[in-house]
Amino acid sequence: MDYDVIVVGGGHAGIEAALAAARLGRSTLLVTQNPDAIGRMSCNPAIGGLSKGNLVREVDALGGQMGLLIDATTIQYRLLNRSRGPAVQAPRAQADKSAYAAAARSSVEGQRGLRVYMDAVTGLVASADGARVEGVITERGRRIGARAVVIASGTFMEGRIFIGEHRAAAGRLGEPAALGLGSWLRAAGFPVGRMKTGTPARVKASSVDLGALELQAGDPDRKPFSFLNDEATGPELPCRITYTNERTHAIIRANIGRSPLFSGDITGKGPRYCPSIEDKVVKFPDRDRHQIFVEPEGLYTDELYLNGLSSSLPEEVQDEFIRTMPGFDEAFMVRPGYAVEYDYVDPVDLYASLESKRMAGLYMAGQTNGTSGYEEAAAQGIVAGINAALAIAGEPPLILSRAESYIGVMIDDIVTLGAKEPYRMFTSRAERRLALRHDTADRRLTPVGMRVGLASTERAERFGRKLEAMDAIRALLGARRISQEDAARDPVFAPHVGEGLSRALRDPRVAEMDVEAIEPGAGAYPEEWVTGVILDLRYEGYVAKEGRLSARLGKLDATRLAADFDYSTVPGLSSESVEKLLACRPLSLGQASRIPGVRPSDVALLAVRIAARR
Amino acid sequence: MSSAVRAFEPLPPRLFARYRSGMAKGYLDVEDDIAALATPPGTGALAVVRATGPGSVDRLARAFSRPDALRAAAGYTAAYGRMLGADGRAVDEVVALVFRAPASYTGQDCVDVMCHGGQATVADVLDALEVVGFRGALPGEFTFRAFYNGKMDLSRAEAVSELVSARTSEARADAFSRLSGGLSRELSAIKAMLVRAAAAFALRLDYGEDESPEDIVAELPILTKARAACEDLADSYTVGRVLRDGAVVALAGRTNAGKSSLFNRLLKEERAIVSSAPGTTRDYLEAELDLGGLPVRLVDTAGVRDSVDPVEAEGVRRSLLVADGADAVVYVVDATVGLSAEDQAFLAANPGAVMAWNKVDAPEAGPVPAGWIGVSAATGFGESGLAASIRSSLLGGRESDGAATARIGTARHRDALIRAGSSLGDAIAAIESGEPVDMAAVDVATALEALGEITGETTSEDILESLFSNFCVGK
Ligand SMILES: Cc1cc2nc3c(=O)[nH]c(=O)nc-3n(C[C@H](O)[C@H](O)[C@H](O)COP(=O)(O)OP(=O)(O)OC[C@H]3O[C@@H](n4cnc5c(N)ncnc54)[C@H](O)[C@@H]3O)c2cc1C
Ligand SMILES: Nc1nc2c(ncn2[C@@H]2O[C@H](COP(=O)(O)OP(=O)(O)OP(=O)(O)O)[C@@H](O)[C@H]2O)c(=O)[nH]1
Ligand SMILES: [Mg+2]
Repeated sequence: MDYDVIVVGGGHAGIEAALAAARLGRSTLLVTQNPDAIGRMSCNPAIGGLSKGNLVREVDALGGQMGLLIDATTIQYRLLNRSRGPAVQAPRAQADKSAYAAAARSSVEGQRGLRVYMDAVTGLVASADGARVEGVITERGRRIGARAVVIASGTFMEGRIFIGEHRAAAGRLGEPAALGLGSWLRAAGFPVGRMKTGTPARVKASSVDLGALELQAGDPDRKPFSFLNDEATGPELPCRITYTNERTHAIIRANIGRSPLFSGDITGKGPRYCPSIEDKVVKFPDRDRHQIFVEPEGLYTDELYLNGLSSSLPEEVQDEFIRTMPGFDEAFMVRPGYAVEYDYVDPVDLYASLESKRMAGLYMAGQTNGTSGYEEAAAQGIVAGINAALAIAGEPPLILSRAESYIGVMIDDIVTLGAKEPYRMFTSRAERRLALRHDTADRRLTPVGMRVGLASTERAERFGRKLEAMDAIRALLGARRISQEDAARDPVFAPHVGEGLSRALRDPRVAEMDVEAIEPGAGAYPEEWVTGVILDLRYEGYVAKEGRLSARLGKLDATRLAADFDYSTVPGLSSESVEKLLACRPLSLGQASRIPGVRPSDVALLAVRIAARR
Repeated sequence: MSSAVRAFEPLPPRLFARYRSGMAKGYLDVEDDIAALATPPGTGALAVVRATGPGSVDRLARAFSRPDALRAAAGYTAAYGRMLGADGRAVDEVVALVFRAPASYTGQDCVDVMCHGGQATVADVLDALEVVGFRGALPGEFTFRAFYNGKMDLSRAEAVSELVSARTSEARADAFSRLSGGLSRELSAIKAMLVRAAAAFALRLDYGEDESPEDIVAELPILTKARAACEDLADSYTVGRVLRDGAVVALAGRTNAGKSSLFNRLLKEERAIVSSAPGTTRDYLEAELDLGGLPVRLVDTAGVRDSVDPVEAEGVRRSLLVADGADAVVYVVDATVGLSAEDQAFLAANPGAVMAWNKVDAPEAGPVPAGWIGVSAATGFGESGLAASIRSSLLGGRESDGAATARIGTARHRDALIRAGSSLGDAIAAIESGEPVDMAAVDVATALEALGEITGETTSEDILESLFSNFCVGK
């Protein structure tokens, strides 16, 4: 074998997969069409957001790269949903796009045991019986052997882009599609399908009257994504907000027939959650305007990203409707928006380890699995990379549970439900979202990263110090008694006289106050740790409730099912259920219970069956 | 007189006790061939012994005079023959009704053996089956197999257990409505409300403050409505329980008021001893009664009066205890004597009692005071009015209106509904006190989960275990 692990594609999934495998001591080759494009952000220049921010911090907690990359290249930071509860708050940062890709590339190139190779993979080498992957075949005819292969082909596998009547074989505008691999997988019997996604136009900033737009400033107190960073600093660029109007919509309506989405040229399913502007205009005819976020693409570029204006209408139509927005009368479109349609492989074909059920040693991650988003891709990438390495070492795979991580929720969802349309992470998908706060990612996953061997010594030491500090903070808040003087100073304290501060903090009115003003000792610790302790205390009751609620889930998830369990021998299971269970081959009873069409009584039956076998 | 009629005892265990002894077998041994008496024990024209298991037909054929006819029998056909005992002698003439898997109650091959009634015959038939290797069924094991083989979901399995033990036709109708999904429909309506609220919460969980509406207060009315529905349904348990387990109705009153006479009148038979000597009834006496569809255990008690006789004093004490534990109390007063201080004291302590003004036929009877029901145990006058009052006292004003209203029948259901209702109360309180949406969402999810326990969407092994062990044998 030439390598232990070959990773196909240097996107956000491929980067994490390659780094994880190499860091776990596996000789790794990253084959990508163009090394210059490693870590390129195809669409919006931002990382994080609701639930996606949690994913980034989870990837970091395990020992991944994405958090470090964004921390190094942030040009604006915001904690979203400050006014709402802790479960729905998440960090989001605007990135300097080219700096982000450069940082990604250098982290990959600097990694010991990892090599980057420029070529496109067109097929796999399989063992004689087809049951094991043994390497890859490239466009230039090379056969490279490997014990494990991770496919992270993003939007490039048989990619095709659409701008009005224009068509091109590309994965991103200006970058050729990766042809061949999709057909190879189809021929080998993999469930390959088509999906589509789209991106908006970029316009020249100096051609826009920015003063006419609403300003959206970042948070003054920036926080790092990575648990390895103490603080977040760097340049600051503002975002802006504008709106479409009736004129914009009229132009779109008049040209709707020219959109490949409506003409029927695109057959792939698009993301419901990130619709094109033509979709929005058609689906919500009553809305007289749609909000558009105007985001800078970087420090050294004059391009602006028009978030919310994704379109595949002809260029001249895009040009025209963009100019209907206030401040955009003179706007110059640098790149048009476009739609891209690409091959994906239905992830029900994978185990929760992201290994193929069809071909041992083959893993898939990112957009290839029908997900959308950088963060989703990175999160699968790290899991695929870890599991490829673990499998080679003969160790059992890492399967993160729904109760411990958004990563676990996402992977369980896609391998159980499959992806019929682009899958993106949502807070509501996580049953244990109160426990899965972004700031608890290290407490949940760094021990896992340490066990697997991915968390560096530095990370492990920092983590140990943080746990000690949090204990100290808890003790500090418990020891500080609310006194009569406190109550005299502020009546909010009146009902809490005699209580420890940690108890009084359960009162929302106390929790809202500046804790340092009450207990100056708290100022000695990083704010996120103090806030973490306070949130833990304040919502303890709810977290416990949530825990009880999903205890059953945990129990079912803990009941393992063999991958080769013969469901057809279980009387009482409907043939439909048997078919679905055989197609999914769940690894736990919990996973079985989430397969659509498998009824609760089927699960009860299986539970009883399993008990009977013991 | 101490021979109280105990009609509510569980089925006598004698008939299957020996099949169970020394048997470490459990529900999960689903390949075993099992058998049990499926009809209530006692004398009757016919009794049905039910056998099931993958090899049940073949096995039964070995104790059958015409084995080939039985083996060849198709599903839903009957074979006539004789059951043969260990010594090969016929123990009974029977008709064996064959059901073939999966079209049977249990989903396995199944034979219903109709034999002659009478405990001795049944015991002989069961013996004959034991000889050829049938194991005595555990309580609920037939239904467990039906569930195991996917023939029945949980809430229906539970209703079966009630159907079997239902004592009156109305109770049967109630269990049947649950079996056919009446309760599920009611629950779905509540769940639909909660799912809507949960979806509204999810919207706020998934989209930023600048994209989605903030005001979760808008969800309050629907949560309030759902909570009320949970509570109503939980309350219906009283009715469901009365229908299922029967209600205890005690006749109380001073000595010689005519309690025993009313007891006999209501039972339509001379069960209790009646005499004009005060203190006739010394112990308490009970009997089963179908009170317009409600299964009722009517208890006659010793009259209340200060007694010097130690035996009677004990009887009085026990009677008061029974009245205390009763679901309804009928307080009887002798109209020819009128209200005494003791009567008034009792009624003050038991404001819900049904008040019967007895002996209105007697010429010296005083006029019926307001709130009292004038009755005559001697002539039967006012009997139906009295029965109606007892009913409404038991049903707490919820007159049963047939199958239209779903009722819950088990304490497990009530417990789940109470938990659901209280979680919704928490959600409402959280929203009202300004807690963020993620908190209320947990409470609503908890409520949904609790409701799922009733419909079987949430199943835990503990529920399964406790459920099937509450069954009686033969089902
Ligand atoms: C037009 C467009 C619009 C998008 N819109 C959105 C959106 O609205 N919201 C959202 O969340 N996400 C959107 N995305 C998706 C986002 O870019 C992806 O989710 C994310 O980049 C996926 O990461 P990945 O690692 O799976 O793949 P990519 O980032 O696509 O990277 C794949 C890499 O693999 C290389 N590669 C592919 N196949 C081969 C091969 N056979 N051999 C060698 N190299 C190969 C490619 O050259 C590329 O570098 C959009 C993407 C595009 C292109
Ligand atoms: N005329 C008339 N006599 C009645 C009626 N009911 C009961 N009696 C008479 O009242 C006397 C007492 O009746 P019981 O039924 O024994 O009274 P009790 O309340 O059971 O008395 P204790 O058991 O002694 O507490 C008997 O002589 C009955 O015949 C009635 O409705 N009309
Ligand atoms: Mg009497």
